Amino acid sequence: MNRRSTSIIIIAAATLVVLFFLCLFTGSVHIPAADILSVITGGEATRTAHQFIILETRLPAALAAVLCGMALSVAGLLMQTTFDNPLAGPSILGISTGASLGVAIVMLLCGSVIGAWGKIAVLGGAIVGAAAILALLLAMSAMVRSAVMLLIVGILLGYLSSSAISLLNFFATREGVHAYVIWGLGSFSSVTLDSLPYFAVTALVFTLLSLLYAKPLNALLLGEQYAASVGVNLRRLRFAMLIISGMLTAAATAWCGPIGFIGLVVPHIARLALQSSNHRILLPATALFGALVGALCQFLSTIPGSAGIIPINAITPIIGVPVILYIIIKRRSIAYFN
Amino acid sequence: MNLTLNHLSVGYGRHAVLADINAALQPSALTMLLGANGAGKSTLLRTIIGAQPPLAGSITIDGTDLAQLAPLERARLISVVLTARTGGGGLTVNELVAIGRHPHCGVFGRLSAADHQIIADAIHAVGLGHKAYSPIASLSDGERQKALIARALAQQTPIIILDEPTSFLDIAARFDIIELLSKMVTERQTTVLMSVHDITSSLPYSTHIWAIAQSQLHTGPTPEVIASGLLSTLFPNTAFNPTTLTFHRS
Repeated sequence: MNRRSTSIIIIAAATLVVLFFLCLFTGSVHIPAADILSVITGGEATRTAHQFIILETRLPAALAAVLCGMALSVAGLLMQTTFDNPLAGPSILGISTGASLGVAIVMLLCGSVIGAWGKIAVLGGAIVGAAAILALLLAMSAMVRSAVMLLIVGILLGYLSSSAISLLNFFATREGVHAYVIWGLGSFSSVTLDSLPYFAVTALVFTLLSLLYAKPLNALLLGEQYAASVGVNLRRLRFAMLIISGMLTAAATAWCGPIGFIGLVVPHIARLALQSSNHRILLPATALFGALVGALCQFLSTIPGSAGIIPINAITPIIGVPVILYIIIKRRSIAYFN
Repeated sequence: MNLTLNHLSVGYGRHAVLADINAALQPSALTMLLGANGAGKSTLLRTIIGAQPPLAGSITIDGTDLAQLAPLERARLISVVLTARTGGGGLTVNELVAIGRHPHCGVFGRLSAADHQIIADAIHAVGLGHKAYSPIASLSDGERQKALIARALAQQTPIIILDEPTSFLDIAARFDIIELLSKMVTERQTTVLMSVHDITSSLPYSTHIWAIAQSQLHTGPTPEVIASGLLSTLFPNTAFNPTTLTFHRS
């Protein structure tokens, strides 16, 4: 890694820390900075209500934002390399929509499930939904060898899931639809402190697991035939990538709702920033930039303060679309496209 | 290393492009694979490198059936260079050539000092020493193909197979590449099998010829094949002149 990349990584890490603290400072209630600092260093706030808000709401939301950004971004990078398509991402391959369908079935058919069981049911729905789309993609990948065709299959499966969700909405109760629509807006604030560790473990384990595949992913940049010629077992690699990216997407979607654009855009931001597509540095950098973008979205969503919270999915396109447009316009001069 | 084709049939689905061929690749020699478009050159090479299964028969290396080998074991025996322009523009030359060391290093792809030396040597061998840290995207087509060949050299396999590696290159780059391969044969006893379009410029460097004519594979040392007049049967209405090594209308 050259000096330029090193300084970019350091700046990104520092920005992440700053944004993380900003997330703790902003919210519907004004809390003095001194209280926030004393609570996160293990002390006590002047008012117990403030302590409760920081520990039960803002800290879990900020951590969820960081983890969700990381998980979706890593999933997006793995999909882009595996499918050899710069526009691949968790939402495009239908995996997010599959997870949403699972959640919709739980929320709309089982009524408004409340409490701890409701959370677990929603998570279970997301994992089953994502796994179902993944299994279909895997089965198709045995028949459809071309990565582009497989991508189209993913898009089609996403449409099917969407239409199933619409049908469910049509027959569901008003309360069920309301709960599902709120979930569908995407929010890091709905993650509670007691369920956070499960999300953290899932996101971190599968992110670390992805680092084991930096070597074959680099070979895959040269195309499938070259990758096979240096000993990459293509079928096994594709299977591992679908499992890892699918689990990361399912976990992020179950806890935070279907969040668009992050998984698609952050890998490009990382490649542009580092001027490299070497996965040995690109994978960790994408995880870092993803955490940063997650924290940024969470901070922006809380800026209205007492007026409420802006849905995350209202913010991600504002960050994502300009990056995609820049990439499309500049693609001839961007090294990793050529 | 003796690579042999045993009653091999290659093709797609039920359609065999070449059927029941038997041949042995001359070890430590540069063998040129010749034939018209659609004669089955690429299909044969793709089958040998394992990118598609044989329809029948087998390919063996020193008696071991290639189909029985794991991808990693195969990668230590055969390296490959293809025609198609590849991705990987965001890698540096050094990083791309390092991919050639993958079959020899561990899960994390950590390179030893010896690996780094092999990579540097391979980059110098193809004359890209001054561009070792340039992104692949900044290279010309010829330089890019040389980087891919350096990657094959770094793989240090006894056999290198190239499918029209010089198709998109200018004549100087073609000579560079064929001279380099010829040097690999004499200095490192590498076995090279390559298909080419531009027969005239490459023929003087080849020691053996595999020629596909009328769906048959004919093999032999280059002078003998030239003397046999076989090359005049490769393309329709096109004859070969053995003194000038050129083709003309017949």
